[in-house]
Amino acid sequence: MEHLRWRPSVNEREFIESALQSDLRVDGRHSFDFRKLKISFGREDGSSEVQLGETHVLGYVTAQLVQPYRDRPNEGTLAIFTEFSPMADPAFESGRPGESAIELGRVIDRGLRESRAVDMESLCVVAGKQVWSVRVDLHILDNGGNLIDAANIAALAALSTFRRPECTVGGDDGQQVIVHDPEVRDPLPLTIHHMPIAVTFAYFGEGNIVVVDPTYKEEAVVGGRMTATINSNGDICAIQKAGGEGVMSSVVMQCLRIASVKAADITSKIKKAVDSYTTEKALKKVKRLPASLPQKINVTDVTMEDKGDGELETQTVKTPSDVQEISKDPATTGKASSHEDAQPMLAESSNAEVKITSSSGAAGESEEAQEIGSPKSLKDAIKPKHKRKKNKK
Amino acid sequence: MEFVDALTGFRVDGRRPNEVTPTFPFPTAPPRVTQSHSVLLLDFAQMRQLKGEVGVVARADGSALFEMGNTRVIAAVYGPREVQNKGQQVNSKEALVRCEYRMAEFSTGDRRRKPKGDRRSTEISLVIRQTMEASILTHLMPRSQIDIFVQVLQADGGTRSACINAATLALADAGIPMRDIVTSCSAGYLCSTPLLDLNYVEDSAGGPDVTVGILAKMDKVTLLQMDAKLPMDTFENVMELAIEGCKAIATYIRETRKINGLNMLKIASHKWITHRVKGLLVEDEWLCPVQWTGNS
Amino acid sequence: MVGLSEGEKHFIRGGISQDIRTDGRRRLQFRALSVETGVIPQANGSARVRLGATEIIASVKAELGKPSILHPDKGKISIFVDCSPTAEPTFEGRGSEELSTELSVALQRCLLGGKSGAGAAIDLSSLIVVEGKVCWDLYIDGLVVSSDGNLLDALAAAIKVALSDTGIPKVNVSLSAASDEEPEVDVSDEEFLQFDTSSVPVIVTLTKVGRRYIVDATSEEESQMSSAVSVSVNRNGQVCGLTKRGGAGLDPSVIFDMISVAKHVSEQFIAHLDSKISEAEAAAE
Repeated sequence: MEHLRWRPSVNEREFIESALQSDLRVDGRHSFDFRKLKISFGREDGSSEVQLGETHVLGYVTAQLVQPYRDRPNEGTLAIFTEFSPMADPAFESGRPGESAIELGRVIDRGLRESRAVDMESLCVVAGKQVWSVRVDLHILDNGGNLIDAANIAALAALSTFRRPECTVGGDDGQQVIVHDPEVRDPLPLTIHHMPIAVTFAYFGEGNIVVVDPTYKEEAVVGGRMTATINSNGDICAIQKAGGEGVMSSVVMQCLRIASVKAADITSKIKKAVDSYTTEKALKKVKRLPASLPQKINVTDVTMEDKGDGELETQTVKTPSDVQEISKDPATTGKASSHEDAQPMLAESSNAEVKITSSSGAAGESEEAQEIGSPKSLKDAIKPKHKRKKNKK
Repeated sequence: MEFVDALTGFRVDGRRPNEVTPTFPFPTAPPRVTQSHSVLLLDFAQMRQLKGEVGVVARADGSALFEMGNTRVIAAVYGPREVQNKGQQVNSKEALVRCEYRMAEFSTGDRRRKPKGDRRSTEISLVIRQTMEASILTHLMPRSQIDIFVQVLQADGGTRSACINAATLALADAGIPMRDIVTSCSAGYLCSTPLLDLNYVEDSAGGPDVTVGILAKMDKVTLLQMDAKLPMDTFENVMELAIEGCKAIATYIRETRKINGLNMLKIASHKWITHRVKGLLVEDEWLCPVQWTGNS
Repeated sequence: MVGLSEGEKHFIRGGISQDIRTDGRRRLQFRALSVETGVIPQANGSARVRLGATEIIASVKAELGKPSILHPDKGKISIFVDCSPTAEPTFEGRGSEELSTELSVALQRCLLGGKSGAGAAIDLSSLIVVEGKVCWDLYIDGLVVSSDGNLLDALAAAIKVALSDTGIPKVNVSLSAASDEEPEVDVSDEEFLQFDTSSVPVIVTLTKVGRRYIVDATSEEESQMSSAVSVSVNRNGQVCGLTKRGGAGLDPSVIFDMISVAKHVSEQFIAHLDSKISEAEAAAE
């Protein structure tokens, strides 16, 4: 109920308004500054948590196979659901969504779905019969103002890290869909063409004063609001200015230009957070390698380690996938392969981000120990020519 | 689908893409010469035939029927009257404005069942309410309630705009003081041409749809909604086109009001009640019906 | 609903007992009736009827569907009424649900006949395309735009006019279809079948105020009623349906009297309505 929403006292209202007249905001920001944005992820793929100042939103993505719409038989569907918990704001009722909840849902829905940010056709499994239906749930945990922007970022972050199970079409009639377990086959990410970022503007004082990212208190005093959803290419994906204070169209265009700058900034932040999460997740998978290497836990010799480091500097750092491939055929070339194993593994241990399991690390080091024991002759015999040359420098 | 025929330049229903020539019963607006964009088109953008009628619902304090092509909408205003639900009254110094948007079951091509209470209707109710609130002088009617009900009889694209235009007429018919008339129009971008006043076929083509609502005299944008992707420069052109459409509708609405003989008085600014305004011009402009409060 | 003062109430009741109503009519006189057809172009048939200040828009939409298993040789008709909040502010949100349901049920009873379809206003077997497989589903929607009493009569009149305006497209069935398959139907855009609405009844509501009954009550008069009986009568003078509203008890003889009065009044009303329909159709052409 709107009447339960916090209403400012006359003092507070005047304070906020007169401060804005002098170009000051109550929390000390500039007019076009966003609050501090923190994006973190949950344990599962497709769950994200966004904190924009005091606003706290949780995003969660799931998918299931459904029948497609009749007029779009080869496209998947994307649906946004919002949950406004009364914990966030006493004005929110549990159960039936209020007007602002529906507005938020529709704005984010328009920004993501109508602008075709997520590729729907790749979600089709059997045209006309089975498609993936992606569902984004947004839970508002704390209303500190500007829910639309925060919820939008949460949705994008969750969609970027979401992985859907791989499925193949088979069976007797070629129509049966077999969904593979994530353990068996890696789940696939969604194809996201671009990131539509929502930027909310608040207008005060008959449309003359514009600020970005209003706080809860500023929202209570606002004259009008506009949310522009823009991607980093400068395309406008959606605009929502639902009445309120009138503004000149020149002001609208100016806001859009500011929004595109902000959108680029936020897109890079999201991408960075998603990338670091993805790498971390992938490297955790390294732990799940089958134990193909002989596990010899030896005490490492300090001198050997130094030498190992020296060798490593000349080696290229190999990616975990290479490690996987190499580890798959340990038996073929006895020491050679294990030597190859050793180098990349140690290389990664020198890389700050990666945590190598003790077993593989130890195995590598043990191989190294073995290797160093019989020096040049064995190396010459085993190492390929190009590497040999490097080591001889 | 060829929304703009390559050879003749006509749209699906025979209009030109860019013509602002509102039709009978009032005189044609003079052609506007602004810079043309990529294609050399005559700078006329054509919107559909407009028709406005007031006083269609006898019981209501104010009512209007507005047609934009095949889109027909009835708006009824009840108020100002006593607040029914005290719990909803937020600010006792201002009137409470409520709005409900409903579509008739037969309004769309496929018969829709349970057209009220769904998310789209709730959002549009919210949008119309906030748009009209920006214009109504709510501080003149404290502790009262103004209900705006909009019923869509036929939907052929642009229902939002038709609803706002109908609501403006109905509010004026009810004698509720307003800052300015609010008019609304939609525009889109198909086949690389900005198109004014989309109908249902053009709207469901998947191209962008921009709905703009302006305060006509003050030339301020109060409602702006857009979906689907558009680069920023194209958006500016489309928005400007929609604003032109809104101004044309405003001209039409003024004429309708004169024909219907509603008493008007020109107001120079919205502060006229508290200060005497020097020189009330009574030309063909008006802003709100007479509302004597005793202190002017 | 604007409240009435004691003086006004007394005036209304007194006037009715003296055969002079507040708007100058006699007890058994209808208000001015105006009829328009074809107001909803995308419907198969539509009508807009104004009875005084009460305004109703009715539309008929026909869609192809499957007949019910119990009646494989009959089509289906359903009637829904929606009260728009433009008519009454109390109709907003879910406020109109009770009234809408009441009106829908009353109309269904009067126009659709019994469960087996017997006595229906429209011959349901004329709606069948392929027996047991394809039939026409008619959806009749009534929308109350403005309400000033006597909604049921106006709705029934509007539905009658809408049905007379309805054109069902001709369907060509391909004969080569096997008996257990879905037959191919080709809906033609050119030819239409018109309904014969001569057997569609009208509803006349008699409102008892004091000791007298009036026809076509305004909402002010309805607020003073003790009970109301709505009789559905067709052209042949047969009673097709009956609904009684209001809590006051009625003596059976009173009810019989009301039915005969309704029959008498309905003759003129049907004639008047038919002439209006032909006027409207002539105007449309």
